[in-house]
Amino acid sequence: MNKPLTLIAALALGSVALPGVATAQYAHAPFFDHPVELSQAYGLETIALKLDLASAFAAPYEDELIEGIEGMTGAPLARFAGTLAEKNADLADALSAALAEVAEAAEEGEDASEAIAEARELLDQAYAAVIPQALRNDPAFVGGIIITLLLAEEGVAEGYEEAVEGQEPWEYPNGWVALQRVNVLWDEVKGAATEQHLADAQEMLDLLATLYPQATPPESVAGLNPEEAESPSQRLGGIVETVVDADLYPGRDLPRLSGHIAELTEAACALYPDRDEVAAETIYAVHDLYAAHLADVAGLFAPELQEEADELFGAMIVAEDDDDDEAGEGADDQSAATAEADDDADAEQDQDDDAQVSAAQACTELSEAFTQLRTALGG
Amino acid sequence: MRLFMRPGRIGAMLLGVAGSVLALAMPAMAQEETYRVYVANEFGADISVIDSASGEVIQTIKISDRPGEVRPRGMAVSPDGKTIYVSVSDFYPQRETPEDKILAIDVDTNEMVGQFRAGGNPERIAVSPDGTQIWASLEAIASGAGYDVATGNQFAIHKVGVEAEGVAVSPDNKWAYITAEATHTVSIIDIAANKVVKHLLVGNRPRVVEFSLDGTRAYVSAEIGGTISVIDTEKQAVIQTINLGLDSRPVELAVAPDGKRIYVAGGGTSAVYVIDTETNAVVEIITEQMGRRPWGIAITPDGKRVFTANGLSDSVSVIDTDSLTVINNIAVGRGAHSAEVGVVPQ
Repeated sequence: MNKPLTLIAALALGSVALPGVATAQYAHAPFFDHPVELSQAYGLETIALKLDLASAFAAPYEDELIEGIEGMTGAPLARFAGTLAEKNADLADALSAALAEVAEAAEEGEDASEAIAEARELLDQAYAAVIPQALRNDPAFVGGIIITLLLAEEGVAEGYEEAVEGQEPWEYPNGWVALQRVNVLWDEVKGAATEQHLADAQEMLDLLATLYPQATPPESVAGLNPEEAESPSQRLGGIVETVVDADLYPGRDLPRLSGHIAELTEAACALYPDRDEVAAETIYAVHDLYAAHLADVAGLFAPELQEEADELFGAMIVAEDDDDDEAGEGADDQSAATAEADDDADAEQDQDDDAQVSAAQACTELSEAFTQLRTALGG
Repeated sequence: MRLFMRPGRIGAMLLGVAGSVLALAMPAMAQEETYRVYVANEFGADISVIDSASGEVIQTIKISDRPGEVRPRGMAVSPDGKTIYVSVSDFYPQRETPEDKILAIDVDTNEMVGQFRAGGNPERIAVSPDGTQIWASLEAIASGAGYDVATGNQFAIHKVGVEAEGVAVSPDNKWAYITAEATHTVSIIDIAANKVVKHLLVGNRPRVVEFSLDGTRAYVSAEIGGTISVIDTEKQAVIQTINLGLDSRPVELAVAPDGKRIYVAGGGTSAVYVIDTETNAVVEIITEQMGRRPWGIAITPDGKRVFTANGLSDSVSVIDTDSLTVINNIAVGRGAHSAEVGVVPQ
């Protein structure tokens, strides 16, 4: 983890010719203006969706659904837990406990209704504590949430594709529940839409509804087109960004984005080790932007950088798409390590200190890497 | 022209079924040559064949018995206009005998006259100016590959950007350009040296690349970027970016036979953008009576008609290039993706 990053020569400007970028067309850019808050909101929304799924199905749950419900106590919670704890430690503890109770009930095959209701109430309070009301009412910010629910992992488009192409049927309910939420959020922002936009958006929502008629996965995916949800999701995203007057695709301007994530990372590093949970929230936001828009570019021009960045992110956060492998293995490793140190409090403290140093060091190295990327891309 | 392989297992699959026609205003189109417009219907797994003079679908060519799983998408035409090539992607190659392939359709008979395997999800294709090579973007394996038309042999394969998509061969036959959606790049392949010489960043989610007639420029559409990147092919650098608007979502583009205009299919706005190549300015945006979400676009060799493949309305819009108006809409198959124009031998 401590070895210095070396950007290969391909990232020199000699081979990375920079494109021109379309003139800014929209007034707002929520992924540049409020990246951490959007990531926090995504965490809150994800947990809400998992609770909705827990309600939509009856216990005992399928194993895949249980995994999904349990997953809400990992990365989604970590996206905002530090800020929530600083604002209201009791609420943070209560929410964490309530979510754990839901997960436990799901695991045990018990009726989770009461636990879900309590968790929802606490989650609403957490949403209000973490995301300022002005942002929650900002159509551009809501547009950022909508586009994420449409296009991110476990979202409307990806949920369908994974269920059909990846033959992972329990990705389907993730897409279904995301679509239900998109409908609600679209209702919140559509006031500024023209008649044509309203009609077009409704057509896209109707198309998506035909792909997601119910929460339950289809009995067979044979003959279904895995990318069928992609086109209407993209089209709807385009309509939303016009209606909310916000650029919802931050990857359009890669130089600016590279500078943006370099600055965010540097700011996060200043928070380690004293406020590591809050620092990690920013790293989640950075990871979202990097993974969606820059990782493949780095992989083509400087695979060494991409590999190093993946490793460094892994020292700081557990991304949602890593849950199946790294999180599970990591959790097991951590349990084992804790057990071995059970009788030795000093050793455990040393281990925590090492972990903090490691995250802080990883952040510093990632910041250096992104500074180089920024320079190479002209950000 | 010598064609690569015998049709093999799907050689007798031609259907003589005429599709339904949605006839709107349909002025007579007097033309010296007779053209046929081929439309790849991605989700229907078939090809609609339109007689350009009558505006009628005269045949539907079945590509696969597995619609949704096997999809015809990219198309290209031989330099003499007599052969249409179609790239077919199998999204479930593990289930049955893989159907990733490139196939050839004879314009005169509308029969499939050859095919060869092209594994890796070939999305789009281009024919070299001498007609001897086909280059394909292999989406699933982030590669660009060259195939010998006569034998079907793959003679080159190169790593390019992630989610390879558009492909074009320069008029001097020296360069193959291949776009990649996820890395926002165009990879430049030196065909003779058989190597990738450069990756260029272009607009966000590049789709299609086409060369100018003289080969000095290459134009790249960027769907999310809402732009056309203009590449100076000698400098191998982006020298200008034409902004169509972030909601335009441009996909395919067609260079007019006289080189003076570029026609761009704007999927987001259901429009065709007309660009003057001298000024690189948008001189017209055609929206009236356009079909929904045009992705594919092709122009007749005489430059008089433009055809768009409209994925959301499963139709083809016909544009008169003198008046720059839509003069007809023709119903085709499900998920119209690309269009190409063939020349019927006299």
